[in-house]
Amino acid sequence: MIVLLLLPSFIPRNANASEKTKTIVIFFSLHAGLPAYQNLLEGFRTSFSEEADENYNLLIEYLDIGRLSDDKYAKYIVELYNDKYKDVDIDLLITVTPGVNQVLMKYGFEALKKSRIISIEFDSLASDQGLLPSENVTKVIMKLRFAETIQKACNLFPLCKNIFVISGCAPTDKYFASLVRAGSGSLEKKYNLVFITDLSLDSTIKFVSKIPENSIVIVPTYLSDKNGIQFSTPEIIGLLSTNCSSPIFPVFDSFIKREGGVGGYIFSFNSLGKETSRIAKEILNGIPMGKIVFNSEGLYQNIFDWRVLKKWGLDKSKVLPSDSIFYYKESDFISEYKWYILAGLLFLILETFLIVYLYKLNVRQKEIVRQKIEAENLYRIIVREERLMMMVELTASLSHELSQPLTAILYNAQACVRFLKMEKPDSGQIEEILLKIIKDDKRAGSLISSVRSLMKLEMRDKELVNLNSVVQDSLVIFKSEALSKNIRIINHPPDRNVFVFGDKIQLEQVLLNFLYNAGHAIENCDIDKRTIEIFQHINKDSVRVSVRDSGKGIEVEIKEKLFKPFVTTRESGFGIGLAVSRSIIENHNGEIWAENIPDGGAEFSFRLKIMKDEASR
Amino acid sequence: MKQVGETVFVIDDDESVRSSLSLFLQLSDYNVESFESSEEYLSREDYLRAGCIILDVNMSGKSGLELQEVLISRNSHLPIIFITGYGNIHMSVDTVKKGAINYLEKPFNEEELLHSVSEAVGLSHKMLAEKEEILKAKQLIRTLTRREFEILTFIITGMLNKQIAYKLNIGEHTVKVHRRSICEKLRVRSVPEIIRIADNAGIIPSDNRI
Repeated sequence: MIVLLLLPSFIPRNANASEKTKTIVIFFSLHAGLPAYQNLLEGFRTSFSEEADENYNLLIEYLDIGRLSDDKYAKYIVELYNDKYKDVDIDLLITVTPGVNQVLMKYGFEALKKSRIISIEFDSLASDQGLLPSENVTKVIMKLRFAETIQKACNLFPLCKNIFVISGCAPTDKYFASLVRAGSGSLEKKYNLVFITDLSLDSTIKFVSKIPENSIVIVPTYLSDKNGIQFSTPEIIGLLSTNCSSPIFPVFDSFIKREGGVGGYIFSFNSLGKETSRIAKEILNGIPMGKIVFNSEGLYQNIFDWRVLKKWGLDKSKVLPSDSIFYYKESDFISEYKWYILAGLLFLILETFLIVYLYKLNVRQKEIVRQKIEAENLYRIIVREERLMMMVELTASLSHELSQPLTAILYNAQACVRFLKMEKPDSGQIEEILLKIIKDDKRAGSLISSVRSLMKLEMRDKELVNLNSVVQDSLVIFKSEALSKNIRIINHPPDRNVFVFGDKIQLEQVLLNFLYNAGHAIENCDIDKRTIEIFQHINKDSVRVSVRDSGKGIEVEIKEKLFKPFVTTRESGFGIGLAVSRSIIENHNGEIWAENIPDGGAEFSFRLKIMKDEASR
Repeated sequence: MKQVGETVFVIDDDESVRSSLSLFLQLSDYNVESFESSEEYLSREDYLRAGCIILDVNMSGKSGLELQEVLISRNSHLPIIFITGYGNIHMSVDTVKKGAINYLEKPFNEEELLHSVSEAVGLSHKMLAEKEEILKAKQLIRTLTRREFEILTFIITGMLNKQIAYKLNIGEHTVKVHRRSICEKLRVRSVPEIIRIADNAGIIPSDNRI
């Protein structure tokens, strides 16, 4: 993501850089491990890469002349550099104190004559001064203000009476200690100023552990102890602070590394690096050396180690300058990444909600599925119940209906027996009675077979049926009946075919039942009023078929039980037709009903679900 | 046993049942009249002799039960034998409580039927006799004068002549004369006989207490 955002701003630079890669060489006089050099380089690099608009080749050399024991080494490495940079065009040379210029000049580093140079020097160090040809050189002078540093450290501890300046035994240590001493005139009037040097590390530690109250400790540098063992000053500061009951102050920003030194108004090598980088860019951009001004403001900064401030209870102090910079401030993490953390938390919360929501959704869906299954089971039970109820109803009706012919048969037979016992039986009369018995028996038989057909309904297979063809075929069958009764048939076919899932024969049976009922209803009307109309109403997902007659309509009292078995208004028939029709339509998951229409006459209808619609293809 | 003129009325909307029962009962020496519906039966002129009704419970139009209500309100002397295709114990209890003599489920056997019919016809004879007695009593009572009727209402409470005379503020002799006249008119000799006729005629006794 970040790469993508930066990419467009890089592309034009790369295009411009077709000219020539510029080479910058930095010569550090001492070894690479020096914290001051690291801070300087870091400042230089961050600032330089921030604004660089050309390609640079940054080369870094450490002369390590601190270990110089004879001229042989110096001579040798300068020869080496001459050879190394013989074919390299050095656009800018940066030399970093102490004593580097002296060595490079003495042994004739060739590049010094050709290149433009930035010389970083101490104002107080004689070996740095005036060695280089001034027309090619821009000087960056480090002016150290130790007295100011110490005074501001004392200000943080108003009760302070003693100042201990503790230094190592290396020449550099002694040099800096002397610089402190040189500038301490004003301090000596107010404080008890003590300089400690020439001790081994053990003795130094022993000493600091006994420092009295209301003291502060200043450590300018501690590169080696009395025994000649070399140290890193930040490590020494850290070590001393763990053994010392008074605050310890470094004088350079490079010494704030390991937890130990408080910090304060100190010289910043980091800022020095940034300033050097600014000058380097001006030089490389072709600004004449004479016009380049070194700005020493900003080299001193209020820099504190937050961890140590907290230890001394100064983290909330109002004594701290408003422009202070805090290193290792833990809360930095939270404040710096506040929005990321908030976003993260928000994301976490949202995700939690989402998970909870999805979980609940899942639970609810399972519940719905369970309820659906329960409902289906219940439905199945109800359907079975209903069928059972209908069977019970049917059985009751059947027993009633059968009891009639059975009674008649019994008494006719009894009558027959009595006739036969007479002296002169009348065979004509007996025959008449027997014919009645046969008739009643047939009536009972056909009752049973019609009930059987009612019970058999579910056994048939269903398929897609064109409802219009059901109507057409039924009308063909009904035609002869209609003709014989002088009935006018008006069919209103639909504008398209729709298909239902069902048994064509059964549906025809229902429709024929409607038609025959309609025919009976109007057979006694005037000839010009005998009309049957058939409608097919297609809705979105269902179709209704209606048969309307021009008769007198359905009597109110019979309307209720119209679809029950053995309900009839006719002389012949058992009134089982509509009950069968109801069973068929219910078996097709449809509805069946009858109503009187306002103009007079009845309308019988059923509605089925459309499985396929011609229009939707 | 059977007397001429005992008629069984068969009311059933099922033609087969109606005709077969009619034929069978005719062969069992009853006069039979059959009707397709309650309405048809009600339109027949009143039948005054002994008989019974065989009535189908479930009929289109006025049902058998409704017809029973009508007949009860008309104080019919014809007992009803209900016949039905549905076995329904509640219905049978109801109908019998209301005076139906029997409740037969189709198909009932002929012995059951004949027994019920003869029982019903016997009952109708009795009811008819009672009815005639009441009629006769009412006719006899109607021959009394107003004073005689007044004295009758006291006699049937068991009062002595003296008490009645005191009650009506008349002479005891006068009560005696009226009592003799009442006995003559009612063609009886004793007080219990007077009471029976008065009871049949539905006369309410006067309260003998003051």
